Amino acid sequence: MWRTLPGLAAGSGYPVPVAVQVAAAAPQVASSSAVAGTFTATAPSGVTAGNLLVAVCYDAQGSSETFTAPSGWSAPSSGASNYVSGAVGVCV
Amino acid sequence: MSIEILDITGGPTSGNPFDAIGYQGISGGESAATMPGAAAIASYTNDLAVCVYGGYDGQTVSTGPSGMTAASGAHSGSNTSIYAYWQALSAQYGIIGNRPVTWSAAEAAMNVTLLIQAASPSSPSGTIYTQRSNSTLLGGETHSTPNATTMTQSLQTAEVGDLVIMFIHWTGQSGVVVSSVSSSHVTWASSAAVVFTGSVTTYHGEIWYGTVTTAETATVTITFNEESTAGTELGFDEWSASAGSAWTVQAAGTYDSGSSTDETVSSASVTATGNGLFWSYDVTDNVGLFGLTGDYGYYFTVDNSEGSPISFRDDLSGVSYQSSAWQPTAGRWDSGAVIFQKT
Repeated sequence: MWRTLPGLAAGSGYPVPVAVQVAAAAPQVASSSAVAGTFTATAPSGVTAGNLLVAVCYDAQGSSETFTAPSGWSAPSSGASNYVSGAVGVCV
Repeated sequence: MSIEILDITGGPTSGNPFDAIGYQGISGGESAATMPGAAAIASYTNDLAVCVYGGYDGQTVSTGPSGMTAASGAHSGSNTSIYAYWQALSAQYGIIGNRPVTWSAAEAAMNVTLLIQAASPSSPSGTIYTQRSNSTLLGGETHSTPNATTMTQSLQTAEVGDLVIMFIHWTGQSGVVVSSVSSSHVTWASSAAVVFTGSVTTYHGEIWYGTVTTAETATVTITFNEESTAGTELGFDEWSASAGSAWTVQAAGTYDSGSSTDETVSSASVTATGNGLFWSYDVTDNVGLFGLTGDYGYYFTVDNSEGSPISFRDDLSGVSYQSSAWQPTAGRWDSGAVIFQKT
């Protein structure tokens, strides 16, 4: 479910989020060996070309977990964490 | 796992859109109902600040971050929850500090703070203060016992005209003070900006400052009034300003907790007379973990596992400023804070 957000009008000089989506994905299972998983968030619809899509992924499985940006997305130039990683891309 | 996707208009159409990214997390063993935001800082105007908080399934945000707007009403992932908030920063804003929230339960949780550029930001009208580097993050902080009347520490400065703040403290040796600080490449003030001594803790802390004259490595010599035999924590923090020619101390203050103990560590309160850089140094009984007050950036000293909270913010006006940090066990603390300005 995408939700339209209240906020400042576009073009006022501020970047403004216009919609947000939360997706659930299967939890990654802790294991003594490396475990990799692919998690899916529903592709948004009705996004305006040129808008920025920012995805933040969160899992509570611990300090060794990392995220890989999906195809067509760019990972931030900085930002590794014990708790979270993210991916960003420009929707065109 | 939870994935949150925000659709943002008004940002850049190419290139890396982030001005800053900050993270903060707390594990289950150090759970606190009040969770920090990231210690992210920036000096970029008109940025969009996005703070995303993650917790366990069923863990909800009871009180959102001050000044921010909730970005969604759906929060459930699988075995996790996720909450996003946003705030359009003004042209005047120099630093976005952490944005703590209150969770419904004390569990492991995390925050990521993103600062996203505006496509056409306007220009700030005031002086913006930006943290250039600090020795704690760069590995130049030290904890050692001088057993002498002097001690030295290497300092790598980054930019001519910057402010260098030196923080130092020790415990249990009364009567010793820093007489002077000197080095090449930095013009140091002739006296401390603030000195604080705990009436019960016997913590003794000092904050000194200087102006960078050459961006090179220097050996800083700290001279004591008598032989120092106490374990001493020492580090530096470098700041730039977008305007002005000379750094001065606008105001300073101290705080002595006496015999009182608390998990919440309040810094010294200082009243500003105008814009400037608030900078505080707290010496705590326990290792400080994260900041509790929004609009302040934080970091924590690392050598000797001291975890002394250091906080800062700019965009000041003529009111009092005081930050607070968190130590996981109630303890005592003492603090010194200074408002620097470049005019």
